Amino acid sequence: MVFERKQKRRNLDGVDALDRISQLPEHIIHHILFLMPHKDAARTTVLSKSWKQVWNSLPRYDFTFCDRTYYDNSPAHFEKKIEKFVRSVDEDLLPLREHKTRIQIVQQFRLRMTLCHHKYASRIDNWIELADRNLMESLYLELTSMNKVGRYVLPKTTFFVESLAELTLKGCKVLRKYFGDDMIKSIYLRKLTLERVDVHYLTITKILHCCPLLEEFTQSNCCVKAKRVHINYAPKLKKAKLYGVKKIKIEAPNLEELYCRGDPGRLDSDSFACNNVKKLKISMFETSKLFEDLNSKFPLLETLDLQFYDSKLKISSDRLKSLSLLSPNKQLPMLQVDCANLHYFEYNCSAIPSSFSITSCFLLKIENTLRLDSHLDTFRFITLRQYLRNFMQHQTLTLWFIPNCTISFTPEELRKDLPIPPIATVEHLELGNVPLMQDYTALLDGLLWSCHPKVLLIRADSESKEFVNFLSETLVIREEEPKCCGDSHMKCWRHYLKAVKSEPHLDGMEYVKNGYC
Amino acid sequence: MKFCTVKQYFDDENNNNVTNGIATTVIPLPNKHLKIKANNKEMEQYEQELLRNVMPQELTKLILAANYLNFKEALDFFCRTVANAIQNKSVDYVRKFFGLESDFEPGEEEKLCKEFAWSFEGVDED
Repeated sequence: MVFERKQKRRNLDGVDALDRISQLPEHIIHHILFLMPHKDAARTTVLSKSWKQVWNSLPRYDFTFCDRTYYDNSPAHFEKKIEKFVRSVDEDLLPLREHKTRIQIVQQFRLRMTLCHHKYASRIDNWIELADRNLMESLYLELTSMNKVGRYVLPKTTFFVESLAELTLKGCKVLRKYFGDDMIKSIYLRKLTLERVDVHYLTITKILHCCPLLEEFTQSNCCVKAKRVHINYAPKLKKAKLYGVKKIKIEAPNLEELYCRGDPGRLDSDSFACNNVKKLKISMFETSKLFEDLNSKFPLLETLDLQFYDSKLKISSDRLKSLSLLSPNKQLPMLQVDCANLHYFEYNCSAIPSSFSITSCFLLKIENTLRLDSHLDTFRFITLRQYLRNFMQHQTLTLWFIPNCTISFTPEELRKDLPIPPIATVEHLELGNVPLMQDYTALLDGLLWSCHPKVLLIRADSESKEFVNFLSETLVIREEEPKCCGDSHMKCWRHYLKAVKSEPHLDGMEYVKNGYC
Repeated sequence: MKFCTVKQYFDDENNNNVTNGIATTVIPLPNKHLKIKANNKEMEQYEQELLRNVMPQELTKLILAANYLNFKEALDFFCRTVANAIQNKSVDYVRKFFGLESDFEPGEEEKLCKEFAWSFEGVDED
């Protein structure tokens, strides 16, 4: 195919301002590119649009080989199936082998199989080396080793394939000796993922040290030798995910997103030297006082997602916009949130905080999810009301009940000297796993005393129907001027509720309450 | 065998693919080639000479001529010459060599450079 360009009249001395090379037929340009080292050939994309087009017209391949054979207790049978799979891969790779006079690009090479015998390791080496020679851009290997067969070791040369931008290894092994201290060669990866890989943490440090272009790094549930993470050179790293680790020390000046999940482990202030992190997610770590002064540790932090175990937690940050707290702890935590710019707050816990303070001027959205105790009494409802009162703005509340819980609410106990805060409005109250009870009066009285929900949503399940019936009887049919509470200043919800409308909803019945006076 | 196309050329006056100037360079080539087939060094010298005396545009014409004449060895030789001339050279140098100008949008070239960052590592300056 010849490029279409208007051909000017040529004169013999060859003074011609036109771009001549583009007039060459594509197959010839491909041949010229083939005669050069891959790096130089790839660089021609940047010359001009027509050269970019030439590069894009090179033959490209995407290979995905996934063996779904599962072991059915017959080794011979299993091996036969694997053998068949291996042969089909060889066949599919023929085009790569055959064309030896032109550049070909393997955009993606993905392989997932079970290694049932070590002889297959060399077959896999063979395939990968073939792809290496053909400008491989992305490699994904998920190899499970059976019984006594050793893990697959990726050939050393593959790491250094210049065109390789993405590498994902699952269940393989990386040899420490490939990355000795004296090794200075560059690795051009932009994205590296190691999942369940047998590798030493120092080898990972070394590999990262050789990757000047790395933007994304994930280490997930690797072997014991890799429970520590030590990253001291990662100039372009933007996103890091470290799962199943015990100790972290990371220095990445351009890191923007960091996700850490401990094994569990411990984090302290010298774990991180990443001043530009905007999004941080931490779970299963002992975090001590890390969050008390986020301004100095993570001055640009905007989103924090924290799963905490401490019974006391203080979070302080000027820039934080979104805070999500999760705690599986049953202890009543003491929380102090000092974030002037917070827009979004989420709290998901098994306990209402025993002490809670929040200073923020811009809170727009609050989501609380609480898993309730097996015994809900008046005191619990008081705590709930006090907690919800912290939020003046749009808030949603989800309450999960435990089966066989007991609920009691006695207004008499309210007349003690306890100072009761004014009641808070909840935009949306969702109840899940409402237990089957003889009488829901205490539950309803307690709930509607703790807050005034505008919308009440009940998740439909086998036991919720009773409750829904109770609600329709009690809420919809009620007196205009209830006379239940007499002179008491602590009137029950009947005195405040103005209008109730019920609507069926996808998940269950939805009651829309329109107003409280 | 190599000259059947040439015969056709001489019969076909309005041919645009090969000018006279080129014909004088390409046609002696097979003789040279036969003479120094096994002698790589002389071929190298000839290549250097070619690069010095002939402008890249001419080289392109040579390639087209060799292609039209179906002259495989010459085609390969000229292609190799071009490849050797531009490998390990910066993008600007190669643009000058071919008389190209970048016709990318402002952000486009930068994006490409980033995508192909691996190919820019360790390249000679001009």
